Amino acid sequence: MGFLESVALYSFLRGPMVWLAFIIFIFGSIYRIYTLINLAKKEKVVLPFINIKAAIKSYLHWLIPFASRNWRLKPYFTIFTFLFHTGLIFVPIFLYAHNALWYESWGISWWTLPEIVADVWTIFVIIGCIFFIGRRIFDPTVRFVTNYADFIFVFICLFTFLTGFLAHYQWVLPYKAMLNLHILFGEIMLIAIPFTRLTHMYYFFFTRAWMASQAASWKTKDW
Amino acid sequence: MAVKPQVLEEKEVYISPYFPEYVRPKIEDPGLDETIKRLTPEKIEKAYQAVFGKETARIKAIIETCIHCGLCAEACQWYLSNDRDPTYSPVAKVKMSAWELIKRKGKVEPGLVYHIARVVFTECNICHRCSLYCPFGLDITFIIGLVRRFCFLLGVVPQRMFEMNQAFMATLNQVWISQSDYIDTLMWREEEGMYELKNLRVPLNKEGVEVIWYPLAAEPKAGVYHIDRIAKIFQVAGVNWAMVTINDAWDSSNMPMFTRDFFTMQRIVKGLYENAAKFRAKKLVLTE
Amino acid sequence: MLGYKELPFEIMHPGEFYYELLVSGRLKIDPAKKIKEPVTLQDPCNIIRRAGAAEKFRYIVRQTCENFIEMYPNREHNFCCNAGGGLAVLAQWLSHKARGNRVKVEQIMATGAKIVITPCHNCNTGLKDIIGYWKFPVKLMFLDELLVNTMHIPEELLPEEG
Ligand code: HEM
Ligand code: HEM
Ligand code: SF4
Ligand code: SF4
Repeated sequence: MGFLESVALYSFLRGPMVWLAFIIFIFGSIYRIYTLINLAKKEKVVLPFINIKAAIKSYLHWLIPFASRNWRLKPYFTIFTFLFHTGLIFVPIFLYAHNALWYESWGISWWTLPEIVADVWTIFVIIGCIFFIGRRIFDPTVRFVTNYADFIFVFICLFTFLTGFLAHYQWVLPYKAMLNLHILFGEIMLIAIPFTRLTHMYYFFFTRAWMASQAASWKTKDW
Repeated sequence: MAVKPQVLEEKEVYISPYFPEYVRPKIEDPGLDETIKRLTPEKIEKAYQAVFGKETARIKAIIETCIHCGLCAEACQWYLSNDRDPTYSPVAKVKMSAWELIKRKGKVEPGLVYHIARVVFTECNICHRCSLYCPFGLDITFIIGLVRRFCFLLGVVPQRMFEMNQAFMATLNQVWISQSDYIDTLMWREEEGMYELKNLRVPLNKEGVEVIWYPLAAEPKAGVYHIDRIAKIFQVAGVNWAMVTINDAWDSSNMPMFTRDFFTMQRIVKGLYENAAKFRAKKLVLTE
Repeated sequence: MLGYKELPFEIMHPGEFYYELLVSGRLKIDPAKKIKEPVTLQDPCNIIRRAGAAEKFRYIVRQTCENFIEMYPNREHNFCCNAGGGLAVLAQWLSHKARGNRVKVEQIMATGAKIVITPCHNCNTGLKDIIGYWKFPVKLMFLDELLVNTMHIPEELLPEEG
């Protein structure tokens, strides 16, 4: 356990790795979005076709739980996926511990989640991850189209939240070791977003816009 | 709501060597069985390059966004009807065709082409329902269409579909009707119809009409009663209408669309539109 | 179809044109001839999901039939007839196709309708195959048949006796 707890690892992860992770995350994301738009420009039919109004309507219907027919058809899945995704985005941004770090580094901070809310939300995310893993193993339809990468995505999210949570309560492993693990997974996740199918975070808005525009041109709706 | 199927007619089973979950009755179709014997790796790769070689935004976005969540399965009538067989879900169809091709960069053997053709030609209706159920709105039918084009370039197309495509190439209609046969049919229907409705007319090639009706080729061939009925409706409603018999362009079904034979497709569309422009119709009514 | 964006004419499905005729009163329905049996309507993918004609078809059906029952799901969420995408012509694959659309049969059965109105030729073929395979007692009817059977024919157009 020596190495995991070591200050050397901690200062590496808290120093250069944070920079690296954020730079890769931000520039990688910009690069991904930029190349996609550029490619779309070459395909002359795509961009002029986009209908912003239809796209926004479609976003709303798919980003609000139960606002589209498929969300209604799968109520459990919908609940889990919305708890999971909202937690994934809001908890790290509004977490007290993270805010303290922002403040330490750059002197900025903002509103934070009450501890109890953050804890419960984190648990929901963990349950969501377990639900997704269960689906991938036990639902034959999903299993047929699953490959290892899909498990890895879910496990990255699971470990990040699990280790953060355990570190906070100083369970299982010594605080230092757990924290190091947590930061490591958090950074892996940030780096993975632009390079793997986790880019769906951005591409969601493009693919939906495209389908919504198509549906609008056919005078139907896509939810 | 249980409905009992009849006995299965096909005794033999086809199990895909690539995806053991894929179990189907064996169905003979020379369009698939024979054509794959003529394939060479070079030909396959060339077809792959022609269709998927250039990276395009739509292919990229669709393949890289799909998170393999299986939500689209709920949409597909094939999947629902076959007791939720995983190999019928839309994403599975993409997995077994496009992902496999892209993963292997088109270096695939004829056996897999057979499998792919079977999936894209006989198990997807390009009905777009899955796109309404995918949370990302991924255009799965676009990918299936591309794979169909890949198979078409290789000539691996179910026999009946291919024959129909040839009929279109030659006569621009689906059922090998020549121009004079077509005109004869229309006049014959007009004569017959007069016994049922006074002064029934099937106007041909009239200029400045309100409506031009383009039938589906099957109508003059096998369902002539449609012509009677349309004529009656238009007559009763007092519509100024016509049918077009010139330039062979009158069949509105445009089947080559389904094999993604873009060239023939364009010829048909062009023919129909030009005829409509010639007779200065205000509206085109297409059966289908 | 690119390059034909600005067309000097409208393109429509016969159903949409019939709708215009009915709404503008050029074509009148004879109330006595209205269809009494329960009917349901197959929404063709290409015309509903890709041209938004759902409401127009419903208008025609309501005008001509007394007892119209919706399938569920309907409109843009309908199930395909399994003859779309060029599958209509694949005769060798008939039973494969028919097995692949059990949900449609269940859907129609749930409505209890005796007549299924199919505004599209493909759908008609597809449903015919399915109905044949599953030995399922419903009749199919096109929109034009529906109108011819129920429209009001003015006196002067009726054929002379003899
Ligand atoms: C990139 C560098 C990151 C650093 C340096 C970092 C650091 C920390 C620290 C110091 C804690 C507090 C432990 C405590 O309370 O004592 C924590 C908790 C937590 N972090 Fe991170 N974190 C990072 C990334 C992430 C990411 C990317 C996520 C999720 C997407 C995340 C989710 C969490 C969660 C869920 C908790 C626990 C909240 C609780 O239940 O109290 N962290 N993190
Ligand atoms: C605005 C941002 C995002 C949107 C709109 C979004 C949307 C979606 C959607 C629609 C799905 C499909 C199935 C489902 O609902 O679970 C999905 C799945 C998933 N997302 Fe996101 N997502 C976003 C951000 C993220 C982020 C930041 C991560 C993690 C780093 C993430 C990780 C995942 C994972 C692991 C799945 C797979 C769930 C499974 O196994 O089925 N998402 N996301
Ligand atoms: S487009 Fe094909 S895969 Fe999608 S729902 Fe229709 S038949 Fe199924
Ligand atoms: S619903 Fe969409 S993202 Fe999910 S598996 Fe199907 S195509 Fe992929």
